[in-house]
Amino acid sequence: MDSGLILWTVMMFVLAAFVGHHVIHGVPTLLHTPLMSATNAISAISVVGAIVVAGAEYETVRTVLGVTAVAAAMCNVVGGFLITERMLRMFKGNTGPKDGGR
Amino acid sequence: MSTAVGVAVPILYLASAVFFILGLKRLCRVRSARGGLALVGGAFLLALLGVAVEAGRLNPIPALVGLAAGMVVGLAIGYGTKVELGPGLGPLLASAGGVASAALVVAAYATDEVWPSASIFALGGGARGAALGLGFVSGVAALVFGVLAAAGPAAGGAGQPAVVALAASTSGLASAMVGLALGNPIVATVGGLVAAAGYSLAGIVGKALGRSPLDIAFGRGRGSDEYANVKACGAEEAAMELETARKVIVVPGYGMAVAQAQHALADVAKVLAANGTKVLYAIHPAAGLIPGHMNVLLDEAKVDPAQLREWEDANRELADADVALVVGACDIVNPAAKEDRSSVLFGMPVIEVEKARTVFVVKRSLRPGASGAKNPLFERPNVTLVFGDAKKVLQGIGVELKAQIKAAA
Repeated sequence: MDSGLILWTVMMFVLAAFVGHHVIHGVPTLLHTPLMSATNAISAISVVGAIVVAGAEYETVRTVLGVTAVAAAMCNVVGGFLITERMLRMFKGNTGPKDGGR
Repeated sequence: MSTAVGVAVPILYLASAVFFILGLKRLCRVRSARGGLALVGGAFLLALLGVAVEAGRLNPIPALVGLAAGMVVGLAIGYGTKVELGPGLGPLLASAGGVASAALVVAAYATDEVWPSASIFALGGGARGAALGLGFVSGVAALVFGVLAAAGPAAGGAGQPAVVALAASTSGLASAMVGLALGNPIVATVGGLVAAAGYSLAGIVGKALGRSPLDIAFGRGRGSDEYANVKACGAEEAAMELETARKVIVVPGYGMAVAQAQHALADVAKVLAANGTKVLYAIHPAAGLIPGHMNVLLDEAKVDPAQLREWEDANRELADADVALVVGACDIVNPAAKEDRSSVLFGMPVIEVEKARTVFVVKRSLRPGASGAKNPLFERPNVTLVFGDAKKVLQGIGVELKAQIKAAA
């Protein structure tokens, strides 16, 4: 990996941060909690990096750490996604006959 | 890497990043929120597909084992958490994300293959080292915020929703740093996206409480003032007052949700209604942990929606109410929000319960609400506190009320 690549990724990171700040502008109060829950799920995108580390033919210590990271991040993604979905369903249930939540 | 793979991977990653951005955007509008979440799910699948293509020649077994394990635990948490009771295990998930990133950093340090080496140019090496260091710190921060938020307001997780947002933000930052260190563009991009989105969201939520995200992170802005002249009584005295009331306004809050007191409350309301008392429920938009929290709980207790009033209507109704019964609420009935310019709550809409002839506040203690602000309501002459768990207190009031009505008949 050359040093040029990290500078490109730094650039993408900074630009993405600006997008992230602007994209949630003006979110209504009603959606604060589901949005929070969704960003929580998305924040575990490191699962992608973890897969690379877990799959590479490194020594055992790193593979174990990599697999741990894959599991922890995936748990965050799946759990966060489901909780968000159930929250949004609950709001819908509020206006009509209630089916969501438990 | 063949040409086809070399082209496919960036395209998949680009599509994934675009889906993430559009998904977040849609999640910010009520009508498109569910579609937005579906886009986010699609974005994740694209990113995973991208890494599967990219890492095609690697050993897939360890990654699959990790994915399967994470999915099982994630499904259990996703379906097992009681959404109505607030974030519950949700914030702990953010911690898991932080742990994942921290583990990756340790893995990167564990040998000198990713990290170190004279072969890397000073600038690249320095930047990578800094990214790894920052990644580890923010991973640990995500863990701390997640645990704090999950512990709840009682354990000092003040401004709880904002703390959840901070956990997501730091977890995203940790991911981004890992992405930088590993040279993975999708991880760096999406990590940066959510780090900023989470931080801004914490700011938006914190603003409602008059505090900046940094105030929340360091637990600043909590009132520690002492109370003077607080009156307290038991269920019996409260029941006596309620029995003679013609109009009662109930103000439920987070404490009702925690104590699961909605059924006991609905029971008291039913007895009152049978006794000829008009009972209304005042619903503050920020009552509980999620908007609509109170509606869901009261609906569960089979309260007639016709009895519910939004805060503005409730304030009009309170003018001629005999009793205002506050159940586990604090900030949403804090008069400082409209009287005290220096209060962190100043400007927030509140339910003006003090306008009622008599006010009973069912609360466990004089601890402040999520804002940390002192509540001068408790010192007002027409306000009496009924200390205890909301469910037990309301059950007690119900028993007393039935006994008194029977004796009067």
